[in-house]
Amino acid sequence: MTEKSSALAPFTVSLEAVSENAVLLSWPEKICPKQHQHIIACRDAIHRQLAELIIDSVASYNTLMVYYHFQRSDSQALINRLRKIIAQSRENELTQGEDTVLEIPVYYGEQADWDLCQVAEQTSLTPDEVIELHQAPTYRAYALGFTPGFCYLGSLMPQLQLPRRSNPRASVPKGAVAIAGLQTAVYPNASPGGWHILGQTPLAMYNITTEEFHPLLTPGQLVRFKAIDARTFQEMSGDLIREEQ
Amino acid sequence: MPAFSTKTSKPNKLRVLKAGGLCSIQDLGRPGSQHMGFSAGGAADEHAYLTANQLLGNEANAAALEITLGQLVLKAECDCTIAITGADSKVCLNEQPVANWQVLQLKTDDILSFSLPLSGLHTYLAVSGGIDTPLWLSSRSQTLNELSLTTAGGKITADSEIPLTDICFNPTPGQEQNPQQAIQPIKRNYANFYPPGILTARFIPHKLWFSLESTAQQHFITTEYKINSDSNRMGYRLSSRTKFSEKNSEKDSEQNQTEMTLTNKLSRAVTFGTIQLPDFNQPIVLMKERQTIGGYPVIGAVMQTDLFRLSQKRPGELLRFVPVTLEQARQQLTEFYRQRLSR
Repeated sequence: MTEKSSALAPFTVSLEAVSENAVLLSWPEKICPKQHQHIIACRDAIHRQLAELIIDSVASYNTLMVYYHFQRSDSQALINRLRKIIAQSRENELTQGEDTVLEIPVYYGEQADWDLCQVAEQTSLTPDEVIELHQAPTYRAYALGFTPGFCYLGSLMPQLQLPRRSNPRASVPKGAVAIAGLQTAVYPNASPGGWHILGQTPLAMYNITTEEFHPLLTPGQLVRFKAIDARTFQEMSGDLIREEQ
Repeated sequence: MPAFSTKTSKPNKLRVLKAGGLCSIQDLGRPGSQHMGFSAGGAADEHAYLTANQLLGNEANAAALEITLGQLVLKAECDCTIAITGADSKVCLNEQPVANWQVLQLKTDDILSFSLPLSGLHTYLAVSGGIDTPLWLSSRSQTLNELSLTTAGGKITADSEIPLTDICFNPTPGQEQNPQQAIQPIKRNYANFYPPGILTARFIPHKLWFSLESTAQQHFITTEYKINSDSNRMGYRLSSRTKFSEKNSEKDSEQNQTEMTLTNKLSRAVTFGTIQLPDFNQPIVLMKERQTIGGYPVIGAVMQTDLFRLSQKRPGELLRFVPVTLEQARQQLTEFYRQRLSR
């Protein structure tokens, strides 16, 4: 074993055939940027090396589900090939894509009257402090799910940690930037939701072409939020939505 | 974004006159789009869906109508060749009963009506050449939760138009002869796929299953579960008729042990057939229109050939779980597709 690969030794990965056509790769049950980097590196390597076998893969916090054409491979044979790929993932693969941090502009306007003031009250902070703390970290997209293009970003500063709202909204607006627990996210579309809304981004979270969907965020992406004022929000063709009373 | 507006400029089409139940366009879904958060979707019962296409000599993935709980009336606005399979909706062609699992030739202005089936849920209507709606993520399947996002959008209601291809009329589909004249001898008894009575859902156990106490395992495989009324294309919610805690009230420690094993996990991808246990007495079996990820404890996955059978079961019906090996499940599925993908 080279020194480079031994740096990855702490990650123990278990592989389990969970369905006729799916294998679940599990890392230890924790949210950890280094471990997640390894998951993403493995995902990319698997798609490169086993393209003809793979239908899709879904990366999450500490897992990678690999869906494959079951007629083309025995499950044990696939598991053996996956083990090899995991063992071979090198550190240079880990750094790929890590240099780009996507900046998401947010209008944290109190005028919009969502949850900023309530969050400030519940966390014993001022609204400005909430905004500052939300912009402080570089977040990592750990998982995608709930609705198309919805990415779970972590981790929030612990001072902002709150349980979900006790009364979820029937409709959270498109572009809402929200927090819950130690996570933050942007709602790609209007949908029901129980997270606390801090602001809104004018940025489209996905792009649709005739037959395809291109999400702005996918697991592994790094993200920062940057405050913008109302004018910039409008200039970026943001559509400010207020809470319906 | 161009949306399928439920109207079409295509000359060949079916017109919906009445839609009382749920009706959607389905093919084999979009299993390659789950990483973007899209439900895999697709026909709930692939046995009936694939058989319909096979009878017509269609591509396996040709889009068909999935008619849930019948109550649909269609008018042919062109001559076309169709096959009807799945739940027996007592289909009538111009008020004359026609047989299920058969090919039919429709003439322009023919009226086809589907009644509430006595048992089963989904009836499939396939057309020669398939339904011709735009592709979205390589599929024509409609996913009810995602209709607004997709070009496959447009809920099918009265007055909707179902676009067909220019090869929708095929006088000799799969070499069938004069199918409209009389009920033909049925080549195979396709309905034998669905055993009557309580369904035995064979499942592939996961690691978590093996870490359960044996009393909990025993309970799970000896209990009859009832399908709840809030079950749908996304998932089947079940409730056990005998509660695990009541039955084992004297064994508090084992009950606690089971509770500790079955804690929520960090969300991870969920597959077709995943058995979630938000509560030990209320399992959920995830179906075609499931979400892509979930955090409830998972003890196994129902094998796919049994999921097609389960998809035809209604709220109030019963099922039972029994473990199966991965190899057995894979063999069943291989054989399932071998029989239905040949033309």
